[in-house]
Amino acid sequence: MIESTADYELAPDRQEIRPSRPAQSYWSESWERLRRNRLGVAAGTLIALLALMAVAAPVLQALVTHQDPSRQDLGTNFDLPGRAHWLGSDELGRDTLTRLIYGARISLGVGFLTVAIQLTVGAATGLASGYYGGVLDDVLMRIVDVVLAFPPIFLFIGMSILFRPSTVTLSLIIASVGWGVVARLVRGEVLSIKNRDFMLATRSIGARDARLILGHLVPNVLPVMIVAASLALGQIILIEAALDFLGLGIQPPTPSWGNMLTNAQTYFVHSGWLVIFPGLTIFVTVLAANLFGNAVRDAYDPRLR
Amino acid sequence: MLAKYTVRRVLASIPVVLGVTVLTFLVMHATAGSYVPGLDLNPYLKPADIARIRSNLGLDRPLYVQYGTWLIGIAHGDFGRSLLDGSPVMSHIVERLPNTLELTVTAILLGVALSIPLGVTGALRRGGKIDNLFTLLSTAGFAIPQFWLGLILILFFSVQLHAWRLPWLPSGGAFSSFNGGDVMDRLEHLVLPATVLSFFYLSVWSRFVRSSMVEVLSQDYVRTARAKGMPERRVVYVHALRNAVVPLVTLVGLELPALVSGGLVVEVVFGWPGIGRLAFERATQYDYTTVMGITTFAALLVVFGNLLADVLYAWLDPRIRYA
Amino acid sequence: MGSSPSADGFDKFEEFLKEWSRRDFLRRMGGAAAFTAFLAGGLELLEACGNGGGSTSTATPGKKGGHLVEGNITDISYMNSVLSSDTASNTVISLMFDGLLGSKPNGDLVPLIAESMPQVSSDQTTYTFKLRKDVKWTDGQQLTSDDVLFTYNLMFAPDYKDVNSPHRSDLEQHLTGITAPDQYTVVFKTKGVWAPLLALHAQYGILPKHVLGGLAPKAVNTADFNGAPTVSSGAFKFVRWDKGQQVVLARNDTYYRGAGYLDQYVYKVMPDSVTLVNQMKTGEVDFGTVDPSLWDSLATSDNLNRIDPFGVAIFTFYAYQLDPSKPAGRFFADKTVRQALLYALDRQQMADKVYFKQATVADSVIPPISWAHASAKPSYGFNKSKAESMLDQAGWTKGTDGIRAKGGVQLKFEMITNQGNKQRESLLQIMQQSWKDVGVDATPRLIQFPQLVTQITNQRTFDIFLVGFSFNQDPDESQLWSSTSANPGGFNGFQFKNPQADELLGQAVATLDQGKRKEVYAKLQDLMNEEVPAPILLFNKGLWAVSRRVNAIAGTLGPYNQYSSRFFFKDVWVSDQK
Repeated sequence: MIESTADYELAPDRQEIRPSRPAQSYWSESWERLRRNRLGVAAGTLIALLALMAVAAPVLQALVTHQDPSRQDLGTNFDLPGRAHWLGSDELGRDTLTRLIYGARISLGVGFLTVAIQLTVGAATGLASGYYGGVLDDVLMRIVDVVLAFPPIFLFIGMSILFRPSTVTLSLIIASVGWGVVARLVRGEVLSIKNRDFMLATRSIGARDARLILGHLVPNVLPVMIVAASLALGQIILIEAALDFLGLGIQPPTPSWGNMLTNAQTYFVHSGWLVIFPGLTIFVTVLAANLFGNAVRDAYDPRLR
Repeated sequence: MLAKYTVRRVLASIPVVLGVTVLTFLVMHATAGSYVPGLDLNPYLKPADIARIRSNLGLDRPLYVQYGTWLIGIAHGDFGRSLLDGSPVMSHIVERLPNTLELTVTAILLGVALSIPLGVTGALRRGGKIDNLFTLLSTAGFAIPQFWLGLILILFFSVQLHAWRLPWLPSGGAFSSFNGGDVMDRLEHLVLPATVLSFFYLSVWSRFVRSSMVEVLSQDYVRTARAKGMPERRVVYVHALRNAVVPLVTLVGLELPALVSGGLVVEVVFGWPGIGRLAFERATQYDYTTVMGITTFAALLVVFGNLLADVLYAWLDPRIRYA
Repeated sequence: MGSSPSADGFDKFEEFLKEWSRRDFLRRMGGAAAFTAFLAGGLELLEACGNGGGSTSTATPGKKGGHLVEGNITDISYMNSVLSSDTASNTVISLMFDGLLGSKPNGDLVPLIAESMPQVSSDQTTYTFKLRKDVKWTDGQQLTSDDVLFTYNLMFAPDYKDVNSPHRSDLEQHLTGITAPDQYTVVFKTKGVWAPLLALHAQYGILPKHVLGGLAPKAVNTADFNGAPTVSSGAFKFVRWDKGQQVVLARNDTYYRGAGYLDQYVYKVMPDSVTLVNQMKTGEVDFGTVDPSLWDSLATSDNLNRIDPFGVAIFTFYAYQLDPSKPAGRFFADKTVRQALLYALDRQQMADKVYFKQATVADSVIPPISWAHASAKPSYGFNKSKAESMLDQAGWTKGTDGIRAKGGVQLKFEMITNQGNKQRESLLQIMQQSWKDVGVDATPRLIQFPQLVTQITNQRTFDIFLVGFSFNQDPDESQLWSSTSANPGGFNGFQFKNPQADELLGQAVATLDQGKRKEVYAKLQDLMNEEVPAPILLFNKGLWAVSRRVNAIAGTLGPYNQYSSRFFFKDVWVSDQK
């Protein structure tokens, strides 16, 4: 509300009237914007809840569902949702709900871990490459070119044979394909920031490389990285599911949402409803991740001001 | 000057392509063991035969010799022959690449054609119900696993419609096995896979067009045009749209590598005789020559695409040439 | 061959047409109509609808024209019988190239290019084949003993060692020579009496010498002919190969057994069994195998007929690591442990739940459809308490965590099978559960198929592997059980070395007398049942469905010709002629 003339200012060359506000840092302002986005907050909360569920899986299994995720009961296989199995059972009589809970560990675990690896390795490469330039830059960027030109499928196939697919190895494999994009992005930002006045000023007063990089470059590069990461989580969960579909991901009997869905599809004609729950779980999670990612981007992207 | 820049870039690309081939080669051989492509769990296969065939195929020679022989072949333009069926690798690529392109190009065109109206409508009615609906739909669009969507579409539009004796769409392949191959037949087969593939592009690009359009609409020159009394439709569709869409071109350009390998999951679900599926099948069967051939080809495409983009940029922006 | 009503009728029709201008007559009347008109006088009326699924192949004369699409989930590799070893290629090859002999559904051998079964010398080492004189290649050339000799030399003669034939070792091991004394006679001479010769090596599609003869041995591997055969002698000839999707064949009108009915035959490849069934439902595919889980759903199909399931010579089994130098080898060296673990498995439930009742519990190492099969005792029916007491007896006592241990070592191991086969994945998990219930800790692990092959034949670091093998009509299984097969590269990766088994296996192939062989195999089956180095879990069933518009397939398809010896496809016809 405009209370007095002191509360507002005239922008010099514009006809608009803006209420004045106290100076705010980029970070707190962005956080405010994020908080105000209700859809984004809801989505983020859902992701957090799912993550919590994944971590607490053994507790949930013991106290809530009372089912072992790998316990087979061939007598009750292909059960419809009911008292014995709240979300039904699969072709070997295992409880779908419990498996979905445990499956979250893989799917979300791979999602978060991959994003973390991609960002760290990509940022480190981009920072080093952009800051130091020269031969290091050439070599690193050539490596990035190779990685980006490499058809990912061969890497996935080769890696899933070399290393037994687990949450960690799968994250490494998926990250190995995506870090190049982050590296390029970060390098671009670094190049445009590197020669700005504040950087030259800081260097002229004798600040060392590490301080320059960590203290000044990184905070300025973070927004771009956040934007890059915002949609990554959802995409990685889908990639993991696709790898399961192709037979290169987590192998049964360890449940992951992707391999539960692939499994269900094989038996679709026999028991069609089997695909509903894993499919829905993936869909809702990725949707939430994407919505949250959009909200984060809307709030933090410096270019959308 | 431009020529010099181009030559420099071409020279820089060569190690990249080589790097890709070396990486492929090493990854495959590291995991192969003594497996001979095509000789599986057939109890009638004798160890002596397996060993002899392995030797005939050159798989027992040192790795650097195998790679070197292949490289020399490539230098002469000879991609070699498949270890699985003896056909020239090029024949596989040449026969199956057009199928993939048919699929991916159609998907991209569909994506572009649909994302522009969706994005523009969302931008124009920004914040309104339609915008929110479109946003939700597009966000949902790239939350669906492709293989799941494909199966659902097949089960409904193919199997179920056929069961109800209604006109139905084919459930797989690029053309009918009998009396097929004409344009209508191929289009029929293209509908479902292209839809599934374009879903993703559609979702991402429509959001991009929307935000780009929003940005453009708030620019000064748009305000000027409106102030001048230009009809709104002209403002939006002639001036704003043109500028909003230009960055989309960059995005589409980034999809060049995906032209070859992006449709893999869709190709597998629909049994599409494309190069993505070929690569996947041959990689899991250790058909080294075919896999190396496809990787080289794909890498060349990507590198060439990047090169083209960089050279175009350099041509447009003289500052880069002299860097 | 070929004294059936349809073939006779057709021969007469052909002669009739030669007098009239063939083209004119057919053009005016339409091929099938013409044929019908001609036959209406004396032969049976043609049925408009498909047969129900039980009729014999040549009861009703067929209509000419139309096409058939067969679906499969594996793609072909070489269309050359000398080079191929996979079922997909063999199926397509057998449609285009006939061998000296072929197989009937039940495994009996029938002469194809040979005019009769070979004459065997009294010492049972010489086989003399007399060839038919009316076999022509599609380019008009006569098929003679030159072609037969050439085909076998590719796999046998020292000059052709560079040809990548997977059949060479066997031929070198058992044959002393192959000769062709005249244009229509071929003679095989074996080193000793060897029973499996005909079943194993007399069915290769004969290749044309006049096309391939001039090639250097190495060039045979990469000949264009392998991907596009230019001439053939079988029921169909090659039209084109749309790589990645299908192979198209057309009727061979000069087929020596009489031209068939179908204008075109298409072999279509798709990525998985669910797609295959979907395409059969929509009619895009006419004929193909059905995954057990989908079998029941086709019972009510209105456009497909299910062929009665028949037992096949495919079995699923798991093998215990018997190499004493490997850690698991020490567990499984004890026969009691091996037997006990088998008692702990409810195989009937596996057949019911994993194969949806389309499999039978194994009672021997030889499939029940084989003439050599003899039920062995005991039958190892599911008996959990017996398993537990046997393990106790063997010294494996349950610890506090429920896992059995002996001398400080737990009965804990890993089981591997290949990723991508739903049934095997489920079987491993059921085995894990069943063994957990008796105090054994078994972990399933899925690996890629090539890795499994390497593990079994070379690496051999597994504890237990689960796999399926397919055998042909000869009951010889020495590739699995003989100690020579335990050498690197062989399929006896579990290192079963039993002198008595070796002796029985050798005896069984050293005579051509089926009665004597059967006796030896009975002893072998009892021995294997006692030793259980690699217990057979189940014998599979062949599940096929065929479109209602297709006739003359049901009844002609059986365990030993489902993926080979498809010469009988010449009698297949479609009732809508499309």
